[in-house]
Amino acid sequence: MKAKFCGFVGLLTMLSASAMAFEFEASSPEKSGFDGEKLNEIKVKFDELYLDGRIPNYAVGVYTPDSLVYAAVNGQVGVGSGQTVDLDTVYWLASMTKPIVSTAIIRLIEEGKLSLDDKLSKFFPEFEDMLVAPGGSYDTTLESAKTQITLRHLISHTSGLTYWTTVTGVGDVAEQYDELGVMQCNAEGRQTLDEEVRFLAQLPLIAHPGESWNYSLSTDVLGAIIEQVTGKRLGVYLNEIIFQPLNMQDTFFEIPEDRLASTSEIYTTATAAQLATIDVDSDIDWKIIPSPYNGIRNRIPNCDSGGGGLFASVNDFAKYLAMIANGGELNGVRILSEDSITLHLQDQTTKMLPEAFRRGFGDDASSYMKFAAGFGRKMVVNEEDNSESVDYFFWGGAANTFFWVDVENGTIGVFATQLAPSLYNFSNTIEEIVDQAQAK
Amino acid sequence: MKFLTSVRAIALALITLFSSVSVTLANASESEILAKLDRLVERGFLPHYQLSTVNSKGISSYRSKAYVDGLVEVTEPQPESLFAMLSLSKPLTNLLALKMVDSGRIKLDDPVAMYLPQLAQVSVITDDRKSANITQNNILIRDLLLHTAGFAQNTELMGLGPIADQYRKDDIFGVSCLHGKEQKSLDVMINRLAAVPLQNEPGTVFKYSVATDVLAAVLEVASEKPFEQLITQELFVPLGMKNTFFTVPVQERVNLLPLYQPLVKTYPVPGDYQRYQPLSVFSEKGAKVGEQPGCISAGTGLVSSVEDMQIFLQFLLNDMRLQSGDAYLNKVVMQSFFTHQLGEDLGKSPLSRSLPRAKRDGLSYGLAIHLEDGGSLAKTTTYDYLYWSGFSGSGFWLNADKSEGGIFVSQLFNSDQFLLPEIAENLGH
Repeated sequence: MKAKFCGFVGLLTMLSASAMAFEFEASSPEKSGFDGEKLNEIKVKFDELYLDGRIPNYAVGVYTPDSLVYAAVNGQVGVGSGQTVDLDTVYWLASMTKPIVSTAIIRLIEEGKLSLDDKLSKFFPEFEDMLVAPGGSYDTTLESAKTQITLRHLISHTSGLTYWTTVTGVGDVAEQYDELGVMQCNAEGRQTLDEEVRFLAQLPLIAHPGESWNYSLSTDVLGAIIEQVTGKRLGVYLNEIIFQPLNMQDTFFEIPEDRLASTSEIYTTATAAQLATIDVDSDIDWKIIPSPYNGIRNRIPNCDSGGGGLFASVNDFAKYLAMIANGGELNGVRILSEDSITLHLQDQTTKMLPEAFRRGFGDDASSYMKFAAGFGRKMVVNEEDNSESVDYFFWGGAANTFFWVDVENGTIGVFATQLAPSLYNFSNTIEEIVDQAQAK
Repeated sequence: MKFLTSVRAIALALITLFSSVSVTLANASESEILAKLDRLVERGFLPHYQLSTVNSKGISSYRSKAYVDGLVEVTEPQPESLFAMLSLSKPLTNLLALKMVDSGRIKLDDPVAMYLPQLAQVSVITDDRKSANITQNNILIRDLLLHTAGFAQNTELMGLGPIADQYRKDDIFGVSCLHGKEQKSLDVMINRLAAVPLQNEPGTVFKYSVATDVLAAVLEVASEKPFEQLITQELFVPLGMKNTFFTVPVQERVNLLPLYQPLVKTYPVPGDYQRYQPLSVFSEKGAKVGEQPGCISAGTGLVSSVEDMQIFLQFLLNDMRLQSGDAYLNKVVMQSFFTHQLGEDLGKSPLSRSLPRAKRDGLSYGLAIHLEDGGSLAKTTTYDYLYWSGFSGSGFWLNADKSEGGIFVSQLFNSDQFLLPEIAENLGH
């Protein structure tokens, strides 16, 4: 079976190598119609953070669906390692895995194998009768879930599931996620996604499905559904339908040994309690220290986390976004139909009030945020008629990676550094700079 | 003080989410650092800050900014608001010790065991950390002022290593001193401490530690007064500091500012949000330092106000003259609070092993000493400024020529912002 699979991937690789092998054309801002001087404000902004010792390195690229318009990089894969970063450096994507897994779900819907209205219990009957601990609190009486979780709930983080407390988990339920180490695939009897998801059904939800927005392990559950429906491990399936066709050679759940040296190390912000500093010969006063997350770089995962397990280069992730910006196709390879892209980017949170996002992500988020299948929707209000429209689609990761894609004008931005937890998500500022650079 | 209050009222400006107050006349070179501080509040990195500069004659500026009306409740701090000093308590305790030296009640070379017999025979862990030997040197009072006694600091409050962790396990001068259900005497604390080996041989290494807490126990015995009463009578009252306490009187508690801690969560979205949350290390939710101390921690437990710290700084800038004009200390003792006191055998970068950011800095009997570029600890003319800072990002500084000093208050426990050097270097120079 393994040999057969390898042969199939090999065939695909050959096909992609001969027929597609997409790479962005190296362009210049001016050639692509951008003001280069304006775009250089991006470098100034991130250099400020880097030179202040707040981030270990960074790589940022601005793209159109066929060209690399602007790039800025600084720093090394590990502070003092001597190897500089570039757009092919491998970074832990963390939550930027989620849109890709959501794309795979949309693909299976397009193929008629799934529907957004499918109930989760169709795949995991354990979820048929769920209990709800409102607000995640065990101080209140548990309630029976008013409705069943559907794929629509999972893909829009309205399922009522939550996260570990280290992400955005809420209440006692999140603390129990921590204590039990749910969805880590390393507990006894919980080595696969399938086993983890069945176990998750034993814990109460923190809200009734469809009623509120809670960033959660929902995308990991979607990964388990993909494995069940396709009969393939998540990484294998994503490789087959997205990474190989789009020539994303540097995207994986497990970093190949020969790519480890060009994978960025992960850092965390030093606090007063962490007295150690990075002791290397450098003019920079480092305010970061190596992160405990570093271990994930050379770990062989028991399962593929659809919520946060992928590693990729900036260039690779931009290829995926170029396909999204280009209506589902890139360089002659179609991943999704245009109708599916429309479905992918549709608002799935029409019933949610701004307060839902404020509670999840703080004050600012409530002023602009809606959510599609796997993508945040940055909304802007048209002053003339007070109507709302999408400025761009976006998401970010726990180690301070982020992206935006403007499907109207086709511009894409991907930023990566490795600082967990993330402190500097500037997609709003960078997108604005790019907009202004294009308008000039 | 009246002047400050009235100008502050006029300058009061409320902007949607941020409340800021300023009576600062910033020149161009200062405005950059002030803008940076404001941005840190606006972007949600700091809940609030207060910054005031003083000279020998009075207050030269006061400024504050707070993130109000956010999801996490933050109150605009006032000059009279009571903040947790945390490690800023240390220089005040040391100054009181110098007063006791000055009046002949203790000597810097007295062995600590003269006052605390529990510490007569202590052991020190071996280099391989596997066993402990009886120390060769006595711990002297001088070692307590200079953090060379060999003690560690509880891991709950910046300590690192096995001895620090033992303090945590044995509840020795940790967060339960800042707030605790039962109050433990200093005697109980010293008994616990005496049972744990030292981290270093006394007198050989600077190690940021609970030494200041031990110093308070010495002063209690030497003065035969509870430390809280002693420091109030002999330091706060003579200086006119009316808002500095270990235990805040009930009627004053309305002025207490809460502490916050960094929010260790991942928000995958752009924009600003409050990157902190209410502090959750105390046994009681919402507890504030100063309401119910679990022990009198002279190294971390004081609560004070910007107003009182302005008085304290002005006193230091005036070579420790009281408002009456009298000298608080004789000149030689007074100078020892402003000049480097660690022996050359402790190396050229004596503090950096346990405070890595204090590269090349020196240490007086109460303050760290930052040098000018190319300066030397042996030459007081090359001192740039003297300072102390704490676990919540607060700190104060004095220009070495005593032309100006300042206090910066932040209440982010285990802060990830190290702003004091930048502030001291950019203001008042």
